[in-house]
Amino acid sequence: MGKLSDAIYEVHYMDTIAGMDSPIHRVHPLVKLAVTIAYIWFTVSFNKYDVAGLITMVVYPVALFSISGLSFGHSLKKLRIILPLVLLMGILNPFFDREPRFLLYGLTVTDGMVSGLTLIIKGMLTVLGAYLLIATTRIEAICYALNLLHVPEILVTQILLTYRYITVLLSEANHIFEAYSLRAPFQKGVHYKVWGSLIGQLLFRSIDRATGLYDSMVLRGYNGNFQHSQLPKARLKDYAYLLAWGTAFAVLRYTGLTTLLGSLFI
Amino acid sequence: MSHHHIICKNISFSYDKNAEILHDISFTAGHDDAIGLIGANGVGKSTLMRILVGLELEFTGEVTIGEIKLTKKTLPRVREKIGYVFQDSDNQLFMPTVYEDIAFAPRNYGLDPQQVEERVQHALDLIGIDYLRNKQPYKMSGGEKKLAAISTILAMTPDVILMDEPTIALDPKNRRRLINILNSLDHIKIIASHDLDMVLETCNRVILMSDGKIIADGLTRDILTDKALLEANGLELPFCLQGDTGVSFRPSVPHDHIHL
Repeated sequence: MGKLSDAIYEVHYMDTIAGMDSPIHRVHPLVKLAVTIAYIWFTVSFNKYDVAGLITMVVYPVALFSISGLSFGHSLKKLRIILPLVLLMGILNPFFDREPRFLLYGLTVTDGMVSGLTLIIKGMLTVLGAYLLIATTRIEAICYALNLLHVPEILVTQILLTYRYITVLLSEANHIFEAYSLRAPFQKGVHYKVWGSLIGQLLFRSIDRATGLYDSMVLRGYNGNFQHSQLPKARLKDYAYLLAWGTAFAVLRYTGLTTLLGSLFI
Repeated sequence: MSHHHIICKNISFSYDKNAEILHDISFTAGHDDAIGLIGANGVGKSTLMRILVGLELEFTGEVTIGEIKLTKKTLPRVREKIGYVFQDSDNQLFMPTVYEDIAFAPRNYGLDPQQVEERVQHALDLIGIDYLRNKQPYKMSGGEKKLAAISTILAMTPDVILMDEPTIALDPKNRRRLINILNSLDHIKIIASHDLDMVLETCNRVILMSDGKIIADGLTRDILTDKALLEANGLELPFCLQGDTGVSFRPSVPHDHIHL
């Protein structure tokens, strides 16, 4: 079950890169969360035919990758899992919207093709934006920021505990499947007849784990209100970061920068 | 005022009417007690521990911890006085870092950030694991997790520490370290374990259980040296007291096949 151990490694890897030290990692989590939300909002708000404008939004991930020191190639490799989903979002557009838009080397480019491409780019950029948030911010800091934004307590606690226990669950699953494969050496994968009992096992183990965890929490004073860690307040440079990106996004979105630049050269 | 900090009177407990797990358990524990709770598998040691911290409330009888009678209403006050170290440290370490985990209880009890910081530092220093402060539990060894789990309960400044199989899955070095730490803590301790050598080194008193009942309650040196009593209840003498165990090294490979 190499894939399960790979998944465990991936979670650990995310935790490691989120704990790195760089100017981006040091930005206040609430500010980073606000910038990410703004980035996603501005990105999806582009007109469905404005490919040129949308491409300028690449500046944000490019800047963050270069300042934070994260590996762009490695990150793209991770994002390949959701690429099919992103492609699926826009792939049908050319079939529904067949209005010709322009000719490119004799090929008629339809509105559907353009809007499909826009949708795919929007998908890629928003996923990249969210990825950059979790790759530069530790989970407890994100939860702290969500808490400051008054996101329902139960949701924040769920995120925090799911993140902590996803690896425990994966390693339980890994143990079950390893034990199975050691006694079924000539089988590729798990026979469908035992799927039910294996998943049942995993469910019972998860329930056991959840019960133990809850017991441990109530014994240490948990009464339904999760007390999150307190981080220092945002500093002036955090606000400057927010202001800079907010302004940049607004400029890229509303000034038609590509048209302006194009008119300078043509 | 009683000098007993824990008073258990006639505790009986069952999930099913026909299968009683604990039967008429009574004992007291005072400030000098470090009690080893021993017995074969399934005799009710863990259940008794769970009752003492109020994780099982459907028992008959009476439990008093530090003058407070254990009821549903008094649970928060009782739990403030008792720290329970789980057998599986992964249940105990649910926060992203050791620091966050140790700070969990003090925050829940409403301490301000400065006091939380002091409590965390004190708990880390007591166990000597300051180097683990910002480490994620999944990156830690079993021994480190166990020490961190103990720190999480010390941050509550409890009067009583309960431990369920603390030395399980520890290598000899970590086991020795844990024994030294247990001996350095002057809390009331109740340690449920099959590791009788550890009990011998850390506890001054032993309660032997069998079939949900207390069979013997006395000084460690009396109970853990009573071969007949231990064997009658599914145990054996601690290894260090067994003398000639009859086990000798016998290589499974013939001598002429061993190349040095």
